Amino acid sequence: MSVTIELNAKYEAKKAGALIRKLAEGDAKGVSEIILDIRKMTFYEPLALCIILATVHRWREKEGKKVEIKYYSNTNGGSYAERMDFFKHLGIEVKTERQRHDSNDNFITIRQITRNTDEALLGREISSCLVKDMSGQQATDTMHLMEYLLGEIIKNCMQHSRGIGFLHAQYFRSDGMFLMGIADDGIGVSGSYRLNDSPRYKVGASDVYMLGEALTVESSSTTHRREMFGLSSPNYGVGLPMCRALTEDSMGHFGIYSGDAYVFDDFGKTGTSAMAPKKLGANFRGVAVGIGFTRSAVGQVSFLEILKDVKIRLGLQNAKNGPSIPGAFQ
Amino acid sequence: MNQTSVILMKEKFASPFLADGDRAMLFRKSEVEPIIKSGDSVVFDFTGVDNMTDSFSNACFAELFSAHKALVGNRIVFKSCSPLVKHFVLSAMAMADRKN
Repeated sequence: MSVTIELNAKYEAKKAGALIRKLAEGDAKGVSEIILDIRKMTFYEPLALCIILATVHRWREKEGKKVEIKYYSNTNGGSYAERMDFFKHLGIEVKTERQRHDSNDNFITIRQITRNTDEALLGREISSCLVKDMSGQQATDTMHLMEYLLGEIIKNCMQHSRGIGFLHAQYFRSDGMFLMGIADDGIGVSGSYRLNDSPRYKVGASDVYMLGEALTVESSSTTHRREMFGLSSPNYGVGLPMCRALTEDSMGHFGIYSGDAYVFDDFGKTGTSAMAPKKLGANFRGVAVGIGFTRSAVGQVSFLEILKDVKIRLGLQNAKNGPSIPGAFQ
Repeated sequence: MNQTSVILMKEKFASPFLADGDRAMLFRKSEVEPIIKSGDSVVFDFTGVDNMTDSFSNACFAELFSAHKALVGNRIVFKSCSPLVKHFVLSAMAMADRKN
């Protein structure tokens, strides 16, 4: 059975749920051929581009479905997507004479994330690119914040997804926002708890419940694995809660989508403040994370001070300066 | 006679940004623990390191502090830490204290 999915002209990060619900038409029973029509595209934010790529990758590579993309490359939206390498990742070769990479632009093209990705290298490359028109301490603090966020979300994707991820990041001068998106075609939050034999996994628990666990400090799906190392070493489960809290402190937004659950929180700026996960109304098989923050909000206070405040708020530290051990530091 | 091993973290991880918790865990288990077990001392030299993630610092140092807290400050020492790097190390200490 064939299905045609016609996407809207615009998908902002806060509309990622609507995009996932639309794409879920390709997961209907009996569907083996999908025509994905993106010809209306005017502008898709980084998270939306990554969600589409992860979903198409899953359909093709994991489920053996035939996917045809209907697109325009000569419209404004198509031109933008082409510059981000969106079509390349969809397996489409677009012939263009346009200069593809303007050195003044603050973006990186979409990257594929695998188990072999070097998150430190990629995190620094992206952060350096996004702050290249900044200077001084503000540039350093902004870069360190972005590196931290990227390092944690890339590692999260590599460590838990058991799939392929797509990452995109850009600075939008028009509204002064940094936006990052990452989405994978992996096993999802619930799957990670289940397949890692986490004691926090509950048979029959909803995706909403398991996503709530993932956003709780020290509750990662591998936190219990005390003595393993290598590809699935334990972690302390602070990455996602830290990312969420840091975006709040930098006047941004945080969204995460997995299974039939999501959180999108812009901390009350548009009345969209959701501390607890909710039902998505569709099933996103992997995990998608979107992070945005306001450039002007970073650099007013140093990254170090933001980190300390967030850790105290999350209960990870008691005092601002942490423990004191004589002779530990030279 | 006991020896002191100085580990240049930037060179060890080939980056001024330390982010990979898996590599940190492997490094701790395969390189740091044997030094401690042999009775020798270790100095983590952070010259040139300017950023880290909590995933890295917890995987590398929180477990180390949990097992060898009494050695911190004499046989386990941290050198040339920027304020940010020092924060991550202290944060891992706090995490170890919470676990114990």
